[in-house]
Amino acid sequence: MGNFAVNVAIAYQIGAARGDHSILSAMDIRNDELFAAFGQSINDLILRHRRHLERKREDRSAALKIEARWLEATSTAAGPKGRWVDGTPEYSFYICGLRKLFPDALFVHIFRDVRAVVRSMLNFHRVAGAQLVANEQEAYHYWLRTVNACIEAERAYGPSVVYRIRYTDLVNNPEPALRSLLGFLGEPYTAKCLEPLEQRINSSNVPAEFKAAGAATDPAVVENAMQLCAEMEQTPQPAQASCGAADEMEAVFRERVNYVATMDKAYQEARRIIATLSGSALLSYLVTGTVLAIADCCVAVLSQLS
Amino acid sequence: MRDGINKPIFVVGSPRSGTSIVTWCLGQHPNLFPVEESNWMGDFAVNVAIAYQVGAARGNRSVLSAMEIREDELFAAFGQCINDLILRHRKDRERKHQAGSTASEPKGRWVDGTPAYSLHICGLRKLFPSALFIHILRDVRAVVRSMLNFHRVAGTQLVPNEEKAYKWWLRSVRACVKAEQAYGPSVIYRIRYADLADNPEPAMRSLLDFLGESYTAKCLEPLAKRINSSNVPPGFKSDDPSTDPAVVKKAAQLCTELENIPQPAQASCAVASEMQAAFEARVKHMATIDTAYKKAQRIINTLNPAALPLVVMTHAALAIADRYSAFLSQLS
Repeated sequence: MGNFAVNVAIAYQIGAARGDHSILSAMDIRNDELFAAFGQSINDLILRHRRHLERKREDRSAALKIEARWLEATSTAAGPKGRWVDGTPEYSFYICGLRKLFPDALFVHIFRDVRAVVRSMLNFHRVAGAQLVANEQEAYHYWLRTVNACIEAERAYGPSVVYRIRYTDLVNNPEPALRSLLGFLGEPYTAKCLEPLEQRINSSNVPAEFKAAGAATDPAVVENAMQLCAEMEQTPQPAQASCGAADEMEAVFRERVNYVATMDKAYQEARRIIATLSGSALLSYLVTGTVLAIADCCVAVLSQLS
Repeated sequence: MRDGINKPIFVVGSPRSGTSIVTWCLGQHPNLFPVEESNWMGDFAVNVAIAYQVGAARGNRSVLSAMEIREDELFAAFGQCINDLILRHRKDRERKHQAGSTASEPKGRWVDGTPAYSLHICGLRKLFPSALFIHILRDVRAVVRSMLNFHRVAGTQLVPNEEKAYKWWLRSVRACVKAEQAYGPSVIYRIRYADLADNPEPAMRSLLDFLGESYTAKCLEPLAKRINSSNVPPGFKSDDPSTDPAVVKKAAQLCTELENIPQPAQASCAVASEMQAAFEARVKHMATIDTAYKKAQRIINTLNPAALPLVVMTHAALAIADRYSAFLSQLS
């Protein structure tokens, strides 16, 4: 959905490029309205198909290592569940675009100590069968990039939109942590939300003796990450939204939109440059070859003359 | 709303073939309203396909596949969303143009005359499965003349030269002809510009019949004023000597063929598959373009334009110097 938001922005640019001669601007369809309409479509699709997902999960609960009781199809309180939760870590980089699609969306930033995260990333293959990162440095980088992006969103949109929760609080004091989280989401507390914590915490099965200490890891990257981690442990998230930070995020989003919007043209241009360069290189080699052949002939003639 | 279903109409064909005038004519109908050229929906369809690929990449671990949301359903949901937005904003558009519906019920279908959609019919059908397409076909020489004189009405050039005009006509018309073959006459209807100009009433009756709408003479009104809006001077001749005669020949040949042969009477699954394959190729191209672009940039950096000739020349000079020094040593 992150890249999709970028593409909706591009669609709007084209559809409103010529004022009263372009469909979206001529019909007074605003940018935010187009985003929200597509977001609503996605929301409707997901809610409509909720039952399919639940049925599949029920069938596959053993394989997914999910307790069947976590998968109740309907709320016991008030009919079908009305909101969905998406835990895609990559969306840390797309919060600005997601907010355009879903203006009322809420974001939960789960924050975990960088060393534990790096250990878990490096052992991810034990549960998934595939590497998540190539090496320790990449793991530190990944943590830094995602956490920096989430912090930027905390600053930009404030605590009414992004809520930071510490992983350690979830492990050590689950009930107050969950109460607070559900309070942010505007949902009543239920102890059922604590059940998965009993089994799933640290699902990478990091061996007790495992130590992440890659000799090739750049110490500066580790230091950056450790410093940010320590700062975040001590500093709570900002109490208010910052228009400046929100503008910065908007500018980054627009930059991405411009990049993607012009990429096809830029790619064609790059191919033309490559063809030209390859052609000129070929020509140079041909000229060199010809000059050498002529030189050889001259040498032969001069040899005979001498 | 008389017909609130999602059944828009796209008028396609080469630019300067009458796509706008047909859109305006149909817009006079009590159930149809014209919208400005949209241009974005073709590429948007490609992006929806990419979104589906990403959202269904890992089977039961990806949201779309796990929830059994099919690709056609995703497309249709977004198409419905666009349709709803356009119908909802119809009043805003009419207010601007001071052209409200005189009928007792609001107009329920919209008509889009974006010529570039000739190349996006496959994707548009995914967004709007019940959409209908009108292919307006005009003689290539008249189109080329109109393209070359477009600046007289718009202030900007539409094409830089005659050859480009011929190529544009060829590309658009070939795409529309392919769609005619693929989807058949129940989805795409070919109308000749000449028929619209010379026999407007039967042409319009037939067109409205294809659209499933009743005939009204109001749809003929714009034809009285707007036909050939490029104001091509009577003495204008397009005979640029730098135009490749082979391109002109191909275009003239296709034009003659289309004048003599009606559109296919039935849809062809094979051609539809070809169009689907072309759409998928475009999706693949766009899905991987970021990676491909970065790779191309790396290649350019390797083939540094300033350093490369220097390296080659130096290499050549050294090789020549070596041979001559060897020869001179022999002489001495």
